[in-house]
Amino acid sequence: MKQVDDAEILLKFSVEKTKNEAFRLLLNKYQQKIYWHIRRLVIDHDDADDVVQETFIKVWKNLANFRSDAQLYTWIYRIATNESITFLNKQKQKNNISLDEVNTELSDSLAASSHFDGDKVQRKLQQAILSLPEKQRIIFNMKYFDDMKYDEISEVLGTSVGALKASYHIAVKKIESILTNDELSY
Amino acid sequence: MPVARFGRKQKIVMKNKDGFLVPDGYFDSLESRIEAQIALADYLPERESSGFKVPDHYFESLETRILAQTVQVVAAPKQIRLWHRDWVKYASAACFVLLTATGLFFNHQQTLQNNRYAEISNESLLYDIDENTIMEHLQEEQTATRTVSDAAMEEYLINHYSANELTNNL
Repeated sequence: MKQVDDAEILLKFSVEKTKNEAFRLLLNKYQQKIYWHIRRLVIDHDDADDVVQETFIKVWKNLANFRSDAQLYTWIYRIATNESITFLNKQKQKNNISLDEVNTELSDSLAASSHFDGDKVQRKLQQAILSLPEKQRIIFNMKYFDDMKYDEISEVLGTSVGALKASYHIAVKKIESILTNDELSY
Repeated sequence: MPVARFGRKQKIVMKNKDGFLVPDGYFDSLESRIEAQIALADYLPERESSGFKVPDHYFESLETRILAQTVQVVAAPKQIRLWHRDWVKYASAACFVLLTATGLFFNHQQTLQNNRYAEISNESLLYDIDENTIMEHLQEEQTATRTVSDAAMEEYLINHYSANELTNNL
């Protein structure tokens, strides 16, 4: 299916007759990107599956209220990020553990996952990323893997561009340190 | 070189030659940042793969499942049930109380009336009976209550009077 412009999606969605078609176009355009963004945060495929569905259900319910002062893409990303963070917080509360311990559990999950067939370097990288604080991890993923611009990330997270640049730089240094020192065992 | 403030914390060194502005210390950290990116690039795989995988045909089924929970959900028509409205409940309760109280009131009134009728009918019955007959009946009743056995009388006298008294009165 040919990908359409966000403006066209929003226009079709505003008309009752073409609302469903607009949503299908939106899904086709964004579902994979949003899935991978969520997957890199929650690690487990089944968890990512739940969160991505919740994300697009919220998009469906709230798209009529979307104001064009932000980009559609960053708006969807914001919902996905918030849903992921909510999921991770629930894990934390459910298991009565700190967020750092959640990251440790995610790292263990990655090691044991049948849905991860990356090579040694990829596994090492993912574990290095999981050692970062949550927000830094989100920023790193969006900048490195999703190749988003700083002002787009700023729209998603509500953080200044300057702070984002600093955070990304620190994240890169930490990951570099881990990868070069070979601190992780797997 | 003139110095200008830019933002809350950054100090800008203005370059007279080109007019471009850069944050203070920018070039000091630039080299280390580029080196970090290069180091990462040596280690990092293609960004798209990142090692994670999904089941076959996952995204086709994902789209179907999401659509089933969104566009294909038919909103049920809003039903407003009569009994869910508060005023209906309160009005029903009030009617019930009113009817019950009315019923009890009239039942009590009826009982009182019935009792009055019974009294009246008894009195009227007496009016139909001859006065002499009533007097004879009353005297017979009194007599009946006074009749005692001789043995009981004798015992009474023995218990309550001395022999001398009895002898004197005989």
